[in-house]
Amino acid sequence: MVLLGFIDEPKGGKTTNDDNPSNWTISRIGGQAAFPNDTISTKVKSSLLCGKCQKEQIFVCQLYCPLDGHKYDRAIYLFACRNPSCWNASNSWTAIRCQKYDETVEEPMPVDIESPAKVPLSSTDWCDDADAWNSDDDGTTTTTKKPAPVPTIIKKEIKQEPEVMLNTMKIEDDDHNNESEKSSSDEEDDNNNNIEVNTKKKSSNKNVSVASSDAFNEWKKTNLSKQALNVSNSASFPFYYIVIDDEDDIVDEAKLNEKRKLRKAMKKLGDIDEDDDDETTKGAKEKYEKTPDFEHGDAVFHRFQQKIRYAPDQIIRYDWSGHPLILTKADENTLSSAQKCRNCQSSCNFEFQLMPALVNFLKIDNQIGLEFGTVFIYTCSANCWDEKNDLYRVENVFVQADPDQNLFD
Amino acid sequence: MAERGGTRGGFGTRGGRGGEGGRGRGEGGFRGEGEGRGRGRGRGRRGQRPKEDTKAWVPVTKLGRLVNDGKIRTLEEIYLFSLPIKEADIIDRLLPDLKDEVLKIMPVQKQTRAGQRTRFKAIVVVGDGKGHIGLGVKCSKEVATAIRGAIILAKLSVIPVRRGYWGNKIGAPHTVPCKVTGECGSVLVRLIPAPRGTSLVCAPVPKKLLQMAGIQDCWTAAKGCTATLGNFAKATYAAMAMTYSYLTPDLWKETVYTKTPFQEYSDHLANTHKKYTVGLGDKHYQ
Repeated sequence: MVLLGFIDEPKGGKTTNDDNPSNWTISRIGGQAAFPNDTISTKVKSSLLCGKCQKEQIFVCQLYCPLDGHKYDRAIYLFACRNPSCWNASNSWTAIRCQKYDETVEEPMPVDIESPAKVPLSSTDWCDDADAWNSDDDGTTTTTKKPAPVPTIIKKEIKQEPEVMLNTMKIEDDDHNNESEKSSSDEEDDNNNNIEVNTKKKSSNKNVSVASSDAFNEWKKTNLSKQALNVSNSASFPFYYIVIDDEDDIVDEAKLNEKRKLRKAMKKLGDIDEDDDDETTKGAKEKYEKTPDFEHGDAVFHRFQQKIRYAPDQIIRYDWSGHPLILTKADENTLSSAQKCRNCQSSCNFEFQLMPALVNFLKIDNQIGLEFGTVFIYTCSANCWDEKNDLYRVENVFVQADPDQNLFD
Repeated sequence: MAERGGTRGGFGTRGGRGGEGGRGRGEGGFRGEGEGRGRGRGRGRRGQRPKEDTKAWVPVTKLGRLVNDGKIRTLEEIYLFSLPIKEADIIDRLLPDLKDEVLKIMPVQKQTRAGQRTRFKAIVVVGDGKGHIGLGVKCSKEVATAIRGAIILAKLSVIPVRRGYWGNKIGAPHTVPCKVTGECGSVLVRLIPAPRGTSLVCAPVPKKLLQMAGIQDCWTAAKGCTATLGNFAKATYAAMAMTYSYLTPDLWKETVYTKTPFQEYSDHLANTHKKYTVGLGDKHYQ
């Protein structure tokens, strides 16, 4: 069950009942971190340094996320480095977990619904595919029949990103282009029966002339001027609370709304001739098109978009021991490095991820202060905690950059 | 849908799963998290979230953010910098007067073990009449979903169309700059420049596309099975895409920015080295 977080009111908003910035059991972004007690905040400062440039990190968000059947109040804090050269790097982020024993929490009723948390991957896979019976829903899962939760691991090297080779300007023969594109995509289809990746490398083979790359560089200088990092300790992102909602509910509601709206639009269109046999001549029948043909060719990002399209303003996606929604393809090795707990050596599982929409709210002086594509947080599956000594524990972070980040650098 | 109980304003597996348990667990009273109301930053505050119609666009990609902030003002800049467009809202923002039109919706069938499965395929063309055209094809179980998906795909595939003159360069460009051809499947579409006033001499399908692109006069020649509307439309789209790929004489004078080393240091070379007649230093080769 996936929970989504959205931006709520800023500090001092209308609902002043629980407008308490120092309450550590509230989920929010920006401002200053609120730890369960002050000793933690002083002690933790030493570990809040960027892994790359050793500068102090800025507080991004805190999430209050107690676990099922667990008598602890639990919160996770995220810090990141503001230095533009450290953006999109996993080691410039820090995740801190704080817990506090809470006597008053009652044991949950033994309800069946709780078991999904512990169900191993294989059985849920089977159930997920049961609906997919050769029927795709609204084209969202047109391309995959494999178990949805597994992060897409494309073993074959499929070059999807358009590589604008500014130095190699060749005037390429267009016919030659088309041929090579077709052959490569055929190859892909054969080998990769799970994911039908549309490898139309249209943009990669465009003629990049000297003029456009110069113009781009000029434009980049004026517009993407990454301002010098003014390290002021008081710099913080604007303060917003987070409101949490269930993904399933939102999706169902949005689908209903969509259908209602489209039905109205459909009425204008008039009757669609569903009995088409008389119109089509022999051999002119339209074929069943399986994969949508999109120009940019980035299938992984397209799937990401399809998943979030009912709630594109989501900033947090919480799915404890679930699977992250990847933004660009991630290979096995890099993800696995984030999957071992630093403290107790047991495995980590995915807890939540920050979505790209959050970047719009991380502004300082109306300029973007921190950029990323998406950020996965992996936490200890055993939730290790030493009641006597511990004040906080560090968790693993994995950052994925925006799919076109390399074009802007 | 039951109002989701506040769960101390938290994410997490506790108090979330199964929902209803949240209220019964005494959280309402504890921690002062707003008993009964709001429950802290709890869930179930869908009422506060804006309705879908009034939602502003929240960009997800870096390019989307730049467009949203106004750092990129025209679509031409994106074309010039060869940046891939991955969000349809970008096109909405940069081309506000874009119109869309459904060319055709047809049922297509696939044979499955349990009989035939029918889906609807929608072909949509978007254009602003000022040199931008996009074509989207989407298949879906429901007509409305197919149309909506096709519109989004069409927006993602917007390309510029170059217009030129047939003869005298008077007034605004009105026709294709040269003979261009596009192919898709068995269909071949050839667009030929025509004098002003000819209007579009073609079949209804390419006529729609050419109109939306802003081409006023054109002769066409089509070959192949043009009854397959999808291929016919795609072939016309491909032909229009070729207009900016074609190097016409007026584009010959693309300036070269740097002097060749032989030219720059020709004096020095003349004095110190024997001049080999390679011809590069010659003025005629500018």
